Amino acid sequence: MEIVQISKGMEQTKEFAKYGFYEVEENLELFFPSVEVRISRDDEKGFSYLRKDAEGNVIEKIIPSKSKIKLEVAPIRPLNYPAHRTSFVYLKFNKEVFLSEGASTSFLVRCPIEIGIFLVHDTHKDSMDWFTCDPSNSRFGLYGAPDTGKLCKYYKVPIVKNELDSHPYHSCVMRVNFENLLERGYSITKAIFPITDHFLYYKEDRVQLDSLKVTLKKRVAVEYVETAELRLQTDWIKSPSWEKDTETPSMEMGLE
Amino acid sequence: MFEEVFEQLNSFEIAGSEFSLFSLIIGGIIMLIGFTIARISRSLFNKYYAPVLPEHTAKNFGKLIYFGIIIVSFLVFTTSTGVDFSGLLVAGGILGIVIGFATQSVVSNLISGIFLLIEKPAKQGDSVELPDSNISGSFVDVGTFSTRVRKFDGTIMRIPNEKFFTSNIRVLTDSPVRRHEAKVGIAYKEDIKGAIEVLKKTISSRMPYVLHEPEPEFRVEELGDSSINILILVWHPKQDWGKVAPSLLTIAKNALDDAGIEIPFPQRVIWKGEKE
Repeated sequence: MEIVQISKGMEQTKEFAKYGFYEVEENLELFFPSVEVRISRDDEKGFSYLRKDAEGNVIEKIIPSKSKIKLEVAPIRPLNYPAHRTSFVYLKFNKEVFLSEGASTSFLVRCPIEIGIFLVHDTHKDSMDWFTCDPSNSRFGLYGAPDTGKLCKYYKVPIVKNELDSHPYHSCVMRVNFENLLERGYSITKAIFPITDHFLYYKEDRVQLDSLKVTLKKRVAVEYVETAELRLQTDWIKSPSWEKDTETPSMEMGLE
Repeated sequence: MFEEVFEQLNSFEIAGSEFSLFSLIIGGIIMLIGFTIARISRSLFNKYYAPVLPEHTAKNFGKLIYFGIIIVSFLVFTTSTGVDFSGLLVAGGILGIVIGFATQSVVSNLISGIFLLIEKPAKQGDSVELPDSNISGSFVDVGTFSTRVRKFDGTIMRIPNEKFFTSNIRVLTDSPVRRHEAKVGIAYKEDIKGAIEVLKKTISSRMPYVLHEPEPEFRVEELGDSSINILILVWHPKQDWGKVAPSLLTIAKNALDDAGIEIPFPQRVIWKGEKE
């Protein structure tokens, strides 16, 4: 464990656990912003697992194992708090981006994350527990009309300047590539996409998400937006997935 | 005597068609095999394929397989025994009318059931409300003659298909989101804008199932006898009514209390008149 500054401008510093692998023989304590995890050997038969979250809830589990156990603490997609209801994410940008006719641009945005704890076996990783360090900003939103729209996880996100500008344990950084193939300029204020197509990559306490490509198109008289995931080329460690991955090559939605 | 009986049994006539005992036994065996195959096929389908299909689709497919095999068995039975239905149809014409009148509601429920299966006004597990009958609950299934709705108190309500088909049906979980409304009153001396701001902040921070887009709405609905009534409208995921509706008023009341905003009780000022 090292001293990690939560973010630039924040005075508070605390020893927080880093993402990665942990081998537990007897005891392990992991601290995250407003969440703590304690694992201790109960007896010869196994370990006890205890998590206290930001809202004071205590989760206890028993992990049967006669030998030591290996855990991976990794960022996961922000879909589970308060309950898993959708695989879509609605990112509302803090600034409007104006794309003129035929223009393209790319920028980085913060995208929230949750944290998963996985039990590592030789061949696979079991999803054991998850939590969020930022429950107050994990909310739902609707894109479209109430009867036909998409329920999404909704986040107001800032546009940031570089890949390391994530908020440890709260958010990752994602590159969004925009292309406007319409015959008119268009103001972009949000991105809606199925995040289960995207993978997370971590290094210590920094996290990146696969990029998103957003293309504004027109088919005959209908203007629509097409989103697709772009796999990130990085040497950072790829996070295991908590929920089922999907492989949607692209998705079309109406322009609002 | 036994030979005569045996000869009579060996060849007899029903509605113009000649049958033999042997052909009837074969027919019976065919129907028995048909029923057995139908039951086994439905069981296998329910075990291996139904769990991966939506519940209502699985049930309908199960019925289709079961009755499909029985109908095919019946056709094989009639072909093997050489039954000619034309005689039966003529003979049954008048009888049909009589039975038709007698079983009007039965047939009506049966036909309505078929239409319900085609129209599918709700899916299995959907929350439905029949305002005319004051019934609300979870849609279970459409049977041959009746539709079942599990009321929210856990009891099963059996509704004749015809009644269900002709009723106004409000499906509460067809859209991805639902809206819930609640009304709170604040005293006339209070600042409306300030009270709304308090409610907005509290709902945003303490109710994770309330949607942030569309945002909660606050409308001054009425300048009431004792209070200014504010209508709160919040959206939530369709399955989370229970996590929003029962607690919305409690949270709103606590928020107003914490902010020192008065929720007045109904009061009336009585002026006592005096003689000049």
